[in-house]
Amino acid sequence: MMAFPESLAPPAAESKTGVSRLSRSQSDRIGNVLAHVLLATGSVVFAGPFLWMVMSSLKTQFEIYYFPPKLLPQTVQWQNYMVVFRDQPFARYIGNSMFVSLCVTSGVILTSSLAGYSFARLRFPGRDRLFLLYLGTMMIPGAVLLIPSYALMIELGWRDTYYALIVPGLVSAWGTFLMRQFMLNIPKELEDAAFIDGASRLRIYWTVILPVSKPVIATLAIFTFMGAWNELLWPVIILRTPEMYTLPIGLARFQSRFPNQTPWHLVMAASTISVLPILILFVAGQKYYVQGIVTTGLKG
Amino acid sequence: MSKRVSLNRRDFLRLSSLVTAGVTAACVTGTPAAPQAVEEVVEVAVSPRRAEFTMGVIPPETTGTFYQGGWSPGTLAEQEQNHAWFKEFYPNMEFVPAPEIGWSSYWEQIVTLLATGDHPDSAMIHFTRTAPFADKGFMLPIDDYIDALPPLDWPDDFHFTAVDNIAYKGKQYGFPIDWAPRAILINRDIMDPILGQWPPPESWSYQDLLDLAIAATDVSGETKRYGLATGHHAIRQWNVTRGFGGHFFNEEITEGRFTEPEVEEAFQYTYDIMHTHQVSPSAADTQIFGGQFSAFVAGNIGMWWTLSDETRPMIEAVGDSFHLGIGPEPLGPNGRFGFEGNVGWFIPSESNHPEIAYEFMRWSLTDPDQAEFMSVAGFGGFPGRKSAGKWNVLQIEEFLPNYGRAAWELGAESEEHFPLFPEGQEWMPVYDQHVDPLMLEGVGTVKETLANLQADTDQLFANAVRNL
Repeated sequence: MMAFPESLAPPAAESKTGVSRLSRSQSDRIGNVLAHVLLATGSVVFAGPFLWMVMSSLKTQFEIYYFPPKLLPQTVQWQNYMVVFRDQPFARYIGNSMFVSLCVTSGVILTSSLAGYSFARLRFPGRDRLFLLYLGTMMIPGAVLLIPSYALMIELGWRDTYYALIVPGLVSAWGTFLMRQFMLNIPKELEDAAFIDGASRLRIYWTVILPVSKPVIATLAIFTFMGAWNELLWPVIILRTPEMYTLPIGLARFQSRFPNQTPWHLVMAASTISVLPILILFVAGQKYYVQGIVTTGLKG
Repeated sequence: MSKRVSLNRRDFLRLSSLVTAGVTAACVTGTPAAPQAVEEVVEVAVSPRRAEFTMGVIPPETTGTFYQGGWSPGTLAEQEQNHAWFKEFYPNMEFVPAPEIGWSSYWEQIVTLLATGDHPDSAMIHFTRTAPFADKGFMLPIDDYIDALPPLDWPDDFHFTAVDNIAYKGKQYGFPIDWAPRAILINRDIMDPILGQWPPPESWSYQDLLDLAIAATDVSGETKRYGLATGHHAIRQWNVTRGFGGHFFNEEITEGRFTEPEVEEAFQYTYDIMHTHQVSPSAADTQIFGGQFSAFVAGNIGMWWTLSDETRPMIEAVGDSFHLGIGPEPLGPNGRFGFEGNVGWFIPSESNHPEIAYEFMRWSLTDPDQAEFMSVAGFGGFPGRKSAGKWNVLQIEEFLPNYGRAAWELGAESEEHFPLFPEGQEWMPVYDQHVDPLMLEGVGTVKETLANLQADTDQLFANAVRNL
């Protein structure tokens, strides 16, 4: 049990039976402390792998294998980061990944918000069935789509192009679902008022619906950006030209084809670099992100 | 006073829509051309080595792109060698190696390319895929090319097991990159007092190994020490099974033979190492160490029964922390079965440049000078060419005497390899499904497990459709 300094502790209240009990503010405080301890422990658990990655990126190859493991490097190996950029055109990979991820994210926000608005607000025959069908596509495992998607890209002549990386990712059933759920909760009166003012559907979507959808847009943007940023398999299959490689391919290229010859210290340095944009995006959109998760029911 | 820069909703939406509109417009207005092969045709000075390295059927002026699919551009030095070969023999062709990625991504990549008919010009293969790919017609037989321009000293100076692993139903489909026998890496600080002699006897048996492991195991202290780390995956267990005289399958590979006494004995032996005597770290312990390699490096394992191509990274990882040694695969009642497997190159059946692929592959994987280079600088293990293995031995024996005898010579004692069959990829998970609980958790008995494995294996074969 946590002990409080006497000066901070409020006087214990007397119950009707004369037995002392904790006042509401005291129990609130204890609850807060417990919550903080719990959350702090949780954050250590969640931050642990990240910290391990950063520390390992500053070790030598063989320090990685120490047992029992040591968190801190014997001597900080800053040069690991230089080696990463020297051995591979990492700046180029970052640029490619950034371009592809931004395009996909922007596209998904646009298509999902339009589709979500349509499913939430427009009335047309078969709307709900169409939506269910749309949701049904989420049940199809990605691996099953690889071969048909690749065949389609060949047909379009898009192999080894940025189009193949961007266009298939521009529409998201999950994003549409997310948007629809959020937009269902937007008061209809807002739309009605706009209608009375003579606004068209598209105008309402643009000037009324989107401005109040910032939380869900931020949530969708973070998830979509992360997905596109981390995608490995599709770029590996579709790309041939090294100048077009994305960051995950750059990371994978550090792997050795033979057992236990992967330079893990460099992999960790490259991984640290690769998570930075995600981290920045998350910190920038954290407020909306949390709000979006709460309001769309994503938190389960 | 600093002005706070923020992206308001309107700007954000404007930016997003502009980017999307731009991309969409670009997609609609035109498809960017895939990278073109070298357009300017260089006048070719015919290499005096042309007759030695090419079949002479493809003109040296040929243009285009040669895409080497697979998971293996290799080291920078190796890539430079590959580019230099093209520059010498086909200077107008662009050589494009696939990105270096992990095995799991590679298998999805190569299957997608093969299934959609967008075949690379040559590609990497693990021997477990030879039969499935050959059976589906994805691989081009190279026997005619071999007749036209055989590799030097073919096939006598090549490990039969590695070569035969990329052959199916009497046809050769590729050349081996490596040849990987098993060996036992030894922490001599732990094992020398128990062994009492060095090197370990070449005739040591499975039972000797188990006895030594029992003597070396001490799990009473805070830091547990295990005598022997081993695995139980299908190919390793096949080696032990052959050592006991058993077979996994009948000769045609249409039925399992898992209920035969020799097979049961072999699985019981591995089970005893892991559970009856507990001389091998448990799955949980191995996970704590971060794998058997790390556990051995950490000095907590007396002997590690593994692939010999772990030796080079192990020497580097162990450094001076303990005295490292190596011993051969032990002898079973039926002999020594040390060969585990290999990878190689093959020519996909829709390759745009099959002749060049063959010439390139022949040079890259069979040329004596290149085999020496690969043996020393290409990767950690032995090349498919027998005689070139000595370069690998010379290099590693500077640090680890007895490596050549234990791994290279005694590893080649048996000329058998794991059976190849088209349902290999479906069968491996069936094996894991039955054997993992037994070996990892000690669930069930060996007899029950093998009976269940037998039933599911037979069912798989009964439903199989084979094309060849």
